[in-house]
Amino acid sequence: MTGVLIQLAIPLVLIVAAVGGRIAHRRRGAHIERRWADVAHINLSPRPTLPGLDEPRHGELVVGSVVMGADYIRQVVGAWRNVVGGEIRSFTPVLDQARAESSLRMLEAANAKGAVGVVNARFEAVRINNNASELLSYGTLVS
Amino acid sequence: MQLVNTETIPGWNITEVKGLVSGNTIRAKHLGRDIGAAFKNIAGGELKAYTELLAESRAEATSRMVAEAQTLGASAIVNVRFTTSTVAGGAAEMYAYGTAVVAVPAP
Repeated sequence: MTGVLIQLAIPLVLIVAAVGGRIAHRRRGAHIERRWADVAHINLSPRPTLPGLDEPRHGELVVGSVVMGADYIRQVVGAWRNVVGGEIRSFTPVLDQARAESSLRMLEAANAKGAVGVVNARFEAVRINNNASELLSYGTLVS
Repeated sequence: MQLVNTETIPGWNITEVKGLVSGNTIRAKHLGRDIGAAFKNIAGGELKAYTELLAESRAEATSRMVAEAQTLGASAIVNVRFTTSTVAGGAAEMYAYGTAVVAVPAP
């Protein structure tokens, strides 16, 4: 009896967690979009200068980072995709969102310091464990 | 100490180059945090404990780089770069490097 309960409980926990993860993913996406509007006036550029802007008087390093993991369903789909090959579509939105979150944190830090732009922006991703990665964004704020 | 990842500092003139400075730190993940992360892995999303851990480590590597620049008598570091790599046993190495310079306000 206990064995049957455990056998039922494990997939149930995984399914509930994964569905919850999906909902949380969508909610985070909406949250990112709302916050993006507040920093939309900051010019973000991978180049070292901002064309068409007055000579900036101040420069300072800004950093934003986030460690993000994929939910269980995405991991299973991703593992299968690894066997067949090709794009792992289940991971694409996760990394996409994580990068948006980390650049947003960088831009929010720049905004708090009154920046008009962030130049020389660099983006990096590093694998932390089997399914979590750190997304790092950094650049020089100018004002 | 001024830090930028551009080659020049807006509003400042670089008068002297002191050379390459760097700082690193290797941080192991705390076991309790790792178990928490294993649960979090089912639902996905941000692993806040790791975000903080890595941000702290990066700040540590940066301050070691700044300390090295100070001993050289620099007033700023330009072209700052960060790299991260996972090394043995899931530990992460943070490495920060840049060019230490002396800068004076532009006339």
